[in-house]
Amino acid sequence: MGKYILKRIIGLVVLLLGITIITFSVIHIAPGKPTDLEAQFNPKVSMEARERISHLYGLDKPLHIQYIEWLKRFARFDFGISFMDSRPVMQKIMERIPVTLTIELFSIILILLIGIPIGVSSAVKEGGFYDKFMTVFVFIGFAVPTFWLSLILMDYIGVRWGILPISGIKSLEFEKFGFFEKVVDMSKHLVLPVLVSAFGGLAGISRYMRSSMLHVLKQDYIRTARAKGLTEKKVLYKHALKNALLPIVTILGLSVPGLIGGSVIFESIFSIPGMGRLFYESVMARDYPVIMGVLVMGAVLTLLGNLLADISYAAVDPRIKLEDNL
Amino acid sequence: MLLHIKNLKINYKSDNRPVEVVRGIDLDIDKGECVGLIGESGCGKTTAGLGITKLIPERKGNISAGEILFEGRDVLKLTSEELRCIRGKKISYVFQEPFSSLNPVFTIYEQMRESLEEKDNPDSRIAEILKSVGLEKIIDRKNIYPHELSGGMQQRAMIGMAIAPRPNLLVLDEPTTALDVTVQRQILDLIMELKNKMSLAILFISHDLRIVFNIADKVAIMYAGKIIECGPKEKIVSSPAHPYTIGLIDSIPSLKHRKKLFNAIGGRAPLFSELPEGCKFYPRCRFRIDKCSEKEPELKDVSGGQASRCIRTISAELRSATPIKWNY
Amino acid sequence: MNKLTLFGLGIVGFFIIVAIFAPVIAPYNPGQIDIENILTPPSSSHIFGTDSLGRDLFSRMVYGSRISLMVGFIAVGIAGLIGIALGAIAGYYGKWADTVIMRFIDIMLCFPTFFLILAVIALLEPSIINIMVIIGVTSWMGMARLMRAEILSLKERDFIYAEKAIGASDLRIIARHLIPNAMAPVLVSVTLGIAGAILVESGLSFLGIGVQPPTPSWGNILSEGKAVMGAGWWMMLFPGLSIFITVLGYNLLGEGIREKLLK
Repeated sequence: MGKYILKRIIGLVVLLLGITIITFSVIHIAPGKPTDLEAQFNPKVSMEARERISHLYGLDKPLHIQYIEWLKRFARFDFGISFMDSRPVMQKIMERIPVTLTIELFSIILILLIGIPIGVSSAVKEGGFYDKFMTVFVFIGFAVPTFWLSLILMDYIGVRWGILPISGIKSLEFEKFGFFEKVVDMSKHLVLPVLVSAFGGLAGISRYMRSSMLHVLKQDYIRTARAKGLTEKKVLYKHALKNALLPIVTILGLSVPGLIGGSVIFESIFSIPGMGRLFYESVMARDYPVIMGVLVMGAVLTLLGNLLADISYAAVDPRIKLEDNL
Repeated sequence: MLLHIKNLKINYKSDNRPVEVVRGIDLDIDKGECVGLIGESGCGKTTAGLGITKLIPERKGNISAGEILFEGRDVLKLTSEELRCIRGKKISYVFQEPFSSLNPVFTIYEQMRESLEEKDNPDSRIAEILKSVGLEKIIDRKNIYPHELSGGMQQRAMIGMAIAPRPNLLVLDEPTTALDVTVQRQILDLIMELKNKMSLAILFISHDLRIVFNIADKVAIMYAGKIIECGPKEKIVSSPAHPYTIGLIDSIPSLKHRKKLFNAIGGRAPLFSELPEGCKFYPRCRFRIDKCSEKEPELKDVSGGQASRCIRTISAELRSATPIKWNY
Repeated sequence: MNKLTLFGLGIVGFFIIVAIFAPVIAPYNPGQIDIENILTPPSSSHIFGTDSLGRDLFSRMVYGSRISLMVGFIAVGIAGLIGIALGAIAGYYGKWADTVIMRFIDIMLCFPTFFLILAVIALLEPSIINIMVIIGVTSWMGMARLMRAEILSLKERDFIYAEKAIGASDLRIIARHLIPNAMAPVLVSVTLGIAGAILVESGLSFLGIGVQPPTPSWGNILSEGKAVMGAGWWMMLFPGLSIFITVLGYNLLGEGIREKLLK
């Protein structure tokens, strides 16, 4: 296990270097210097700030030196200071990550809780009415733009029917609440964002689960299980399901960047103080240090998600021997 | 009579219309008897074996006619619940590919435990079975998974799972085909040993005549979904009556007659969707006469329990006088 | 061809016709402000109603379809060119070229695409051309992988050896023989990619960092709809529905092609 993880980590370091090179290139892609752009778009930036950025990026030095210096700072998670409020970028990001991760976590749980049963039951009843109905549902799920869905939910559930709050993660009088009330208040605020965030992934996972299950049901060991005289329940939900679930772990890992990227949309619609909204605000304000910081952190979170998926996969699939393979 | 199959017909679904792949077979197996079912791949022998306990998936096909009497009860008339009490309890199976037939994510112990009868103590019974199939090595290793065993050991585990519930009939579908030759021998010995020890009835399905002749008491040869010859093993070996059987026997390379030509049956087995009129073997038959293409022959007695689905009597002289055609 | 595929083809065809004949179909000038008729609900004179500046929503929607179509096709065209080229190089040459390209793809896939697009937009200006290019250069990875896999299996085939034997150049083999034979899965990916690009563009425009008003795009119309939420349902219904139906159409068509070509 240790060796496997070590190998993975070396692979990660390579990816991480790549991520920093791309991020660094993105900064330098812009025609003109970031400092010029800065002054052009953000009148708040003073001469002093410009010099500070110039110094931060080391813009007077050759490109490879600039990169190495940038890398050194990156290794300390020092992304500089935000133009907007002069606070350290990393501090701003770290404040926002828990909110985003909480929502992602809940939506992943929701996706699994709903998507897996849908996929499994469609596969078991392949070609039947239920399966066809679910196929249509899945296509609709793929096509509905989440921002439109968010607006509709906001309009009806929030504005017209007033069932749930539609903005932020806590009410104004939050500080006066007791612990239990606080939990309820936050949960209420999170319902719509979690639903919206889960919606897109739901279609994908249920579709994937369906094909995974269909594939497994054709395997010889399912015939063996039937030939043993096991109940159909055991054949499907013990022998088939465990095999069909394995690839889902990998798919979850692969869906991390999509989920994080999607956070921009629903967090800005529902005014949720997460990483996506921070990113959106920084883009609108051309707050480069923050933009670069979030970009790198988004990629790092994706890497971690993939690593977690790989390790979990290795842990649940007995065929992968962590000691000698990979 | 332990198992009595009468006029069993099985259809497979295909794009436009169902295709009949088992076209009415009769087969009897007595207690403790080993019957070999021989045929080329795609002749319907595996399907027939699965049909005995209705193991053909609904999406693939169904049994359209016939009777399967097992211990006097018609399997086809049982409810799915009653059927489950026969499957894997009284009739159990061993399939061709042990690796793909074992579930990769459950331990051998767990998969074996599922096959036990309720009255048995899992640990002691599993130890007993592992011993009897030659897997003493893994008795104390409850956490061993299928992929950690060699092909031969996997097949031993499959056989162990099959005999665990003390069945009366064991259906072996090409149990040695996927294994190395040396391992094949060991597995066959194991099967013979178990058969004698447990007085098991066996249906041994294979394409390999030599193996079947080694192990079976009675032999049935299938071609294009029907049995074309059957009878006691000795009779079939010494005096095969159907041209197809003759062709199969002549194809066995022989050490004794080295100079003898390596005989093969020319052509290919017909597709079920385009079976010829009359005798289905007619286009590949070296003894054919015009009359053969008129009507599919009935299975008729030859002598002493041997029956053949051929209108001609093929004497030894005729057999040696008729040249083998290579191109059809 | 199955019914759903035909349905998808119908949707795609319909919106292509609408986009091409926009000036003929639109009853009003999409930019024509009419202060007298602000936020009027759908009626016989304005079948989709008017927006907060009194502009005819139907006409704006019709012109907006041009943006969606253009962004979808050009962005995927760019992604396709990059993906096919890099995938073919990786698959054909193997060795270090393959390693470098595949690592590059792994790295690109680490970035949440939407983040990458936003970051680049923050540096450049959100013009339609920039958006198309940015979506294109951030969404080619899947196609490159598909192309590489196809080429890997194709290049061992006899007709490629035959070409090499008669001294055909690498470029000729790749361009004339390998790529055309490997197009089937890429075509599916292209069709689904158009749907994806349309979704991204409308998302960006919705957030105000895509196509900028007054140029009408479905995304920025929806964004205006958000501003008048509760006072003009038609501002939210029609653009959202159009995006949804268009994306559905391309997805159905893509699945149809997949079933047809890859079975």
